[in-house]
Amino acid sequence: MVTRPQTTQSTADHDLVIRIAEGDELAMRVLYARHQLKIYRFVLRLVRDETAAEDAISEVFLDVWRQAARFEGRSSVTTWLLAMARNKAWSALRKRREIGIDDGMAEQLEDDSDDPEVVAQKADKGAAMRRCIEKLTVDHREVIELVYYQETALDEAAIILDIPENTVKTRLFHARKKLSELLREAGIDRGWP
Amino acid sequence: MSTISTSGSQPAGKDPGEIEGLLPWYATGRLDAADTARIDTALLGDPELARRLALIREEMGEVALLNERLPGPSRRALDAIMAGVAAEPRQAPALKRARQGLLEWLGSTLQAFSPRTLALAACAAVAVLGLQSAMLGGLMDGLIGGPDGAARYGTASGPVQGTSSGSFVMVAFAPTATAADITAFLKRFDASIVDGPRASGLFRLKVSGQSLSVAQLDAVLAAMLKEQAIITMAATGN
Repeated sequence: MVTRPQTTQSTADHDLVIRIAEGDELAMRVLYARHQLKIYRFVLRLVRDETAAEDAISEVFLDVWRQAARFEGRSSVTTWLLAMARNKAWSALRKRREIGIDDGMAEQLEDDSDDPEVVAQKADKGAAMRRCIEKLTVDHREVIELVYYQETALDEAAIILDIPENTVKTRLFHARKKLSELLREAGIDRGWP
Repeated sequence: MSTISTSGSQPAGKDPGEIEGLLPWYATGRLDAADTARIDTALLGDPELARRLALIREEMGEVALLNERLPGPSRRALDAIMAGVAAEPRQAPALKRARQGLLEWLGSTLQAFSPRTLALAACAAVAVLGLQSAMLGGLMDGLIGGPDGAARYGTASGPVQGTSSGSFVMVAFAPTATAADITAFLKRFDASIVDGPRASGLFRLKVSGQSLSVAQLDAVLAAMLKEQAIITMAATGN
């Protein structure tokens, strides 16, 4: 059952999902246009591969087409999309690990200390922080992306990550602590933790 | 609303304090009014908490920058989605799932009955179907021909008509259309069944004693096709 939401933004999204459930292809294109950029970026930040990210969002929106009639509106459409996108991203990561592609990516992140560009970036605190964010684990990156960039509420993040709200808070806290440690190793002490 | 103590910044331990744990959502404006007010109050008397909030805002800015530098998906992604949509069955997903749901319900319901009960129910169903066939046969007999084998085509409103001249269409009746629905439909179009059902399930209807023009016949077909509860298809049948 598709139920009516509370806000104007989510009302529009829910109406689109209702129309998609009735087989409306135009509604499908509109929903895609509204969400494609943020969903794609969320997946891309996790899988770090444009082709894999595009494949993942294609699968997400095809699942929307197939499952629209079962969407009950207990969470927002955005939360629903992000939860599906996260699952697709993790599937892509697992596949890649099975064929050993991620090992090379990890080396690429660790072994560039003598890259002149990186040396120059270290002088810039912002660039250094961005580089350290990239070095976080996928678990830590995804919670940071969800809260900081996707601006999900605590309960929404808990649904997307499929963990309790307190665990979301703790995971984000530890991600931030790890970020500070990496910055300290890069020569930037923020005085916390 | 989350329950928050009045404690603000704490030495960094294994877990964040209650207020510090919510600071990221305070920074993104995703807390409710009560939690926001509590953190506002805590920030007023706790400079260290305010400094940690500044760190969070710094992190947010860099994460936003990382994302804003990323491209959007190429046209390939939307093309793949729409190709996938086109490859799906044409039936509306909601209707398809409703039917699947009905079948699942029917299956689970039937499982709840004993074989003996099911056998009795099946016998009763066969008897009902036989009775229904006899009734429909009687109706068709009245509409198509008499017991003496002579052609006796009738409409609900008009006299007996022949099949050799006039205008005809082929239609398929919806499986859910009742005899009363079909009779009323024939009356509305001043039509009569002259043949059928054929192997394809089609019936031939006489819609006029005159030879209608193509445009007139198209108009009749268009009007019939609007009655989707009764017919599922209609085409010229001359």
